Amino acid sequence: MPVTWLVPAAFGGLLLMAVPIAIHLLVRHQGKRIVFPSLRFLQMSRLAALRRRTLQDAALLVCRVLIIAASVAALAAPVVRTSGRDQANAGRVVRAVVVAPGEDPSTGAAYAAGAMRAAVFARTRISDSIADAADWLDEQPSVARELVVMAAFRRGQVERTDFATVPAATGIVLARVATAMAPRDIEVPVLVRRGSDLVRVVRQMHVANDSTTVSDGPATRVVETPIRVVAPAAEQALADAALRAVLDAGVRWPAGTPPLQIAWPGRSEAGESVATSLARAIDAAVAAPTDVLEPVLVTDEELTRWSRPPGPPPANASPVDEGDRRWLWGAALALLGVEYWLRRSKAQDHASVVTREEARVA
Amino acid sequence: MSRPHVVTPAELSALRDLELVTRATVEGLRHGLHRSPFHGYSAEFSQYRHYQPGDDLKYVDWKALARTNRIYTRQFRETTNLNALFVVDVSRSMDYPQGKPKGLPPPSGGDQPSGGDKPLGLSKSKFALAQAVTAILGTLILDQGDAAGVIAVGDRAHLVPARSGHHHLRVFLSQVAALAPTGTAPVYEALRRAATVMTRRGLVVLVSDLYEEDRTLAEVGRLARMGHDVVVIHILSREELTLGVGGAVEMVDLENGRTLVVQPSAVRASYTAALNAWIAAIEKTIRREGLEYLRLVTDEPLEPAMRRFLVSRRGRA
Repeated sequence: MPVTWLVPAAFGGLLLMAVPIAIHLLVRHQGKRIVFPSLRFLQMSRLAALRRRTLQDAALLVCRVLIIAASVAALAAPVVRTSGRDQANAGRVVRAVVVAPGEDPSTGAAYAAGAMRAAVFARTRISDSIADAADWLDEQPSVARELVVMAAFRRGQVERTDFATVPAATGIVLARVATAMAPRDIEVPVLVRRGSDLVRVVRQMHVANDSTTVSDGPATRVVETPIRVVAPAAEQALADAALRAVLDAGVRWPAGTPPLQIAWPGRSEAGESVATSLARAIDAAVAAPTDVLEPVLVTDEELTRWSRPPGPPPANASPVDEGDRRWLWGAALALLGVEYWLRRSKAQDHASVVTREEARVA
Repeated sequence: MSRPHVVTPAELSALRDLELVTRATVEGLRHGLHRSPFHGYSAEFSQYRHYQPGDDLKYVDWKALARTNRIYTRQFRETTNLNALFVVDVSRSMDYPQGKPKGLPPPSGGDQPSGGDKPLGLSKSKFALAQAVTAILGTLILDQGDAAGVIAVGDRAHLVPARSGHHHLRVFLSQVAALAPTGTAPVYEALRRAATVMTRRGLVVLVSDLYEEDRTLAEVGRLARMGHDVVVIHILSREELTLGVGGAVEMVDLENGRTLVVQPSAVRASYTAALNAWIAAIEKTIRREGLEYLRLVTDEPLEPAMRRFLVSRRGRA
């Protein structure tokens, strides 16, 4: 049954086995061994006996060497590789779940549940969370790896370049979460022609998650048209007509906007009408924000293109730590018990001999 | 028909050494003794003589005391030779110090005699001293026409029956020289066999370090109660007496191989106290039995100690 050691560097600790052996040999070498007619009148010098007894006994030495060997082997993290374990290893996946700011991090638990290991990253910027997740995945065992990003995927929230740090073998799953926007009311001041009058209306917009309701508020009459289109003489009539068309539809006009002089944009190469071109030019001149109304989401097609399945784990990948080291720790503990028993029995034996001899001498 | 014993060159060399030193010592001892300290036993009455202090009370004629109010002791005509059997301890503890002492520095302090002469010029081991003592006393006994033998039980039993004659001296010495301290059996086994071998009263000389003293002394007492004259020669080494070892050492018991790590400086006082108490207890036990006790130490000159012992024994005779 093949065994893979996850931390082979720990075998350097086997050098520690030399310590009890060296002490044993040293003590044996240094200790004089002489014969004597009878030991019956000798009382043991307990200090010397203790010093020798700790390492002299061969069984004790073997026991201590085995304790070190078992401990070192446990630190080296053995994994017994069986076919069942290899198959299970191939089906495992390590998953990093990135949750967009503002989302509940617990929503990532569904993805984390099925993984061998999982971690949830939720920083204030998704790109930072993705970078952290890539680093974390790089430190994980060599099984299939997957990055899950849970977000609403509004434009600007996640870019494709944010995934550049993710290795090609790491799968990417982009899960759109339904961002429940709070309904809000927006007031948009609009300059619009009603009949023959030019009025300034505060248009009330109720933006909900699934609908937008528009209603006009009270109107204020504007005496003089605040917008003048400067055009070549040949096109001045067209420009004035386009302005009237724009004002008929209405153009955003925040309070305090000074009168405008707009250069005639002319016809657009894109084929849009001159009125549309003029409306865009006026809108740009007013500098009203364009994105306050509702988010623009990354399309599902784009998300599909950004996604990819996880690659297979490398062939020479180390197996996952199955905790086989616990058996070696258990063996080391058992050997510690044996060592204690050996020391205790030897001490008792020694003490009984001394007592017997003392009694005999007495 | 038994196969004749083939003497190896090593045995022959050891025998020659033993003969040489034994003869020199014996001649020196005989020169100062004039009268042998070893006597045989007799049952035939010879004469009365006045009691002198030290005479054995068992030879006092109590009836004569009652009649005359004077103490007479009966003397018997020697009709039997002395049968002496040497019981030599060949246990491993006698093999100390071994050859060149291993890790044993010379004992320090005033315990070492100033002369420092080795016993008989042989090695300093306890067993060599035991061999020398056995050879010397055996030669003395054989030279005076008595019988001497030796018994030792180690891995197997060695027995030289007590016989007399100069032709037996060579056999006796060669067997003593051939003994080796490799035995596993305790010395009281040899004493037990000696009790069965000695069919009539005689002299039993135990040469041992007495580390199995309980049963050994029990056997010694049994031999004494059987009427044998028992002499216990206690062999010790200087290193045993002083624990002359430096530094932390692991000591191996020669008898049972048990090891013990000791710091001699820490245990020397208690060791010597316990050892001296043990020696004193043994000597007291032996003398209480009315037996003779001689303690010999490996590094002490042998001849003066032997002379003192033989003179005191002659005084008892």
